[in-house]
Amino acid sequence: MKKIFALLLSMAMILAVLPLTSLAQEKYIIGVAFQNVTSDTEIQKDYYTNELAPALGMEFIFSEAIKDTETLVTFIENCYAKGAVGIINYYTAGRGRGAEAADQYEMFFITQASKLDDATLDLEYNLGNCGASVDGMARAYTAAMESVLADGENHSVLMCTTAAVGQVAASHYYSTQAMLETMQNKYNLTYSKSIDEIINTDSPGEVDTGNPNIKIFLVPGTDNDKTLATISTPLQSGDYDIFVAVSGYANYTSAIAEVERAKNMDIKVVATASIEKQTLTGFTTLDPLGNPILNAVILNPLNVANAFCAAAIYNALNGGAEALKDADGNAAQLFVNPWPCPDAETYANIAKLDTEHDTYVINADDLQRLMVTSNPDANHDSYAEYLMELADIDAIIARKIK
Amino acid sequence: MTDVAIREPSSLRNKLLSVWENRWTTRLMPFVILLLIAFAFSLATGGRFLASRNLTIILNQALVVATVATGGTFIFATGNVNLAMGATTVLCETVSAMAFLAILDAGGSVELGLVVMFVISVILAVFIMGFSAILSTKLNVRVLYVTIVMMTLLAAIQQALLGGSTLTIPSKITRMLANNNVHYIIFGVFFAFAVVIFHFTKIGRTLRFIGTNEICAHQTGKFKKDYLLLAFVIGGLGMGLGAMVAIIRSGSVSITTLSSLNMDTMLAIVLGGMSVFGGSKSFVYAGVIGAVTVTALQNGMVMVGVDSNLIQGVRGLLFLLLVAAAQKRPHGLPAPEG
Repeated sequence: MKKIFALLLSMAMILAVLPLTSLAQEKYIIGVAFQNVTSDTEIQKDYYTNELAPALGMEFIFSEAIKDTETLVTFIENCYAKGAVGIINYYTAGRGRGAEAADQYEMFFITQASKLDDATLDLEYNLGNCGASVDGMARAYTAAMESVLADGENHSVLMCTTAAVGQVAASHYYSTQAMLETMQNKYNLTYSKSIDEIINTDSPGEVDTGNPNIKIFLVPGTDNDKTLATISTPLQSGDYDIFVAVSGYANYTSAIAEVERAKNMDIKVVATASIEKQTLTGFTTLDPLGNPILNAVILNPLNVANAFCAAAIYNALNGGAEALKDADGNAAQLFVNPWPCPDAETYANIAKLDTEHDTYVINADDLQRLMVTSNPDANHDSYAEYLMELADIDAIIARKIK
Repeated sequence: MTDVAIREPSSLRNKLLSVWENRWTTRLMPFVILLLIAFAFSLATGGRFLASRNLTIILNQALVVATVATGGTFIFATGNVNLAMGATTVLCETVSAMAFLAILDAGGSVELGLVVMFVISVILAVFIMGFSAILSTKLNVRVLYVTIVMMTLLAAIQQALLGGSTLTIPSKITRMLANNNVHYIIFGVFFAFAVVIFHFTKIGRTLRFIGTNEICAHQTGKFKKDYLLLAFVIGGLGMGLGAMVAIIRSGSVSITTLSSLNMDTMLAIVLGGMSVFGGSKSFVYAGVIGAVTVTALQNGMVMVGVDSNLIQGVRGLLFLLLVAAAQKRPHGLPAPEG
């Protein structure tokens, strides 16, 4: 018994001694609630830790994958217990309840989403959203669809619409809408329901297109494993030769390759991606028929949104909270424009960005423009203007890549 | 080394085993672990861990698991493992939230909606658990297998009901319920009920007896099928009420809601000092102590800055160690406890 107690006490002492060194440092503690933990999460964590933290005097706490509102609220509470003063939230479905929880603990809260939660607009500590531009995403998906449909043949499309239902993620909704409209215009389809009804159907299923040669199958849902299980049957039918995801595609590559091999067909892939090794691999790896795995991507400038969110919280902590809100003093919506990327050559240039201090789209030097302490005019409008400038990927490459 | 050698009174292993299996060790160890965790994290955070606001946070975070686990101890006491606790709770949350929103949409009052939501959640959970127990006893299939099937079936039903959508209960309603401490009242009343039934009535004694030795229990007229049904019904009550506590706390339901609830509940029950084989060492407070311990551990790890990737790993490792420890059975006996 004594040995057991000795062991437990020694564990307790180790736990007690280890973190004492960090208590002496005074930094803003900010919680970052990630919806998924994937390879691009690690890239973002590096950016937060190595570029944003020293520039803004912040310490970031990263969550596990937030799968539900309960986990988000728990993470916010635990961050509060640690002394956090702000939360950057990626879990869009929980942005309303998350904003309330953060407000209750007097922590500034900002979400990476494209649609505000109306019920929490007037909360004092809710700074609003910084998310993908819905118009930009719609334009990018329209362009990507037009490029894969350009050969004049009949094509059938399997679409993973992720959080489009109910506009839980508004960018997913508008991307899906843009693709359905593109298909409609290209093939003169007559949907039996309105596009809004089609997108808001909870369960996966084939869309009635009015044209037996053109099939569209929609798969909603944020659970990647369940989506993978759901797409298997339509994919294996061999009827669909275009696969589109309004989020990442990596989970589905094996299933797609299997069908390509079994059916001896090329399935074109269009998806959202970020600047990471996997995207380059997607463009350069060939499928069983010798075509690239990835045909077009819509690049999500993750670190741009991260920089704006962190800077917004920094400003709020330095007396600039009101300047970031809209004219009515409510939480505001900022839009980050995606970068369309139709081929490997274009991606080769973009891939040089966001790898180190000099190539970060927003590095510590650029960050000065966003901080009220170095730029007293930083406000909602100047943020929006800066975000518009960052839509021009060619200009960014010219500026950052020597 | 033979069994005879293992049983030698002077062997170190046997001494440790006798300490480990001492009833006071079993009863006090969960409290000691909880106190040590509190002590360690309090030191590490300069006392902030034990601040009243943080303790309230821990209590609130533990409440859903504690409610479900309190019901779950009745099932575990019989020596059975239920893998459908999480799926049952989430399905009840889904159906009752849908009913509530439908009533509001139809112009019904909030009060009516809340009553219907509460009743549906409890009745559905009790029905699902009762049905599982009957399936197990009538078809003579082990509880574990029945609950695996039920877990899959219930998850599929929830998927069909929700698809990719998220149900949201208006926050002013969940806030009103929370401000009136409804979640504490639900848990408190159920916990008191469970303590009385489990420790002060024939039902509790019989459930522990069945977990100790099913054959002996049967031979003395304690028929497993009847008591298993009772254990599942009370367990179902906990799941239905747990669903209500979850709605008050988060106010939303999606296909990913409470996806780790079953694992968390089992971890809480085992960490709270109950053997996975149930029996005489079962205590109804095990789920509560375990839930608070797991929550405190997670809260403390975030407070001291443990990497998020490690937190889940630490929980898994803890569960593995505790299950391994609780798996130890006396040698050569015909049933879990002879």
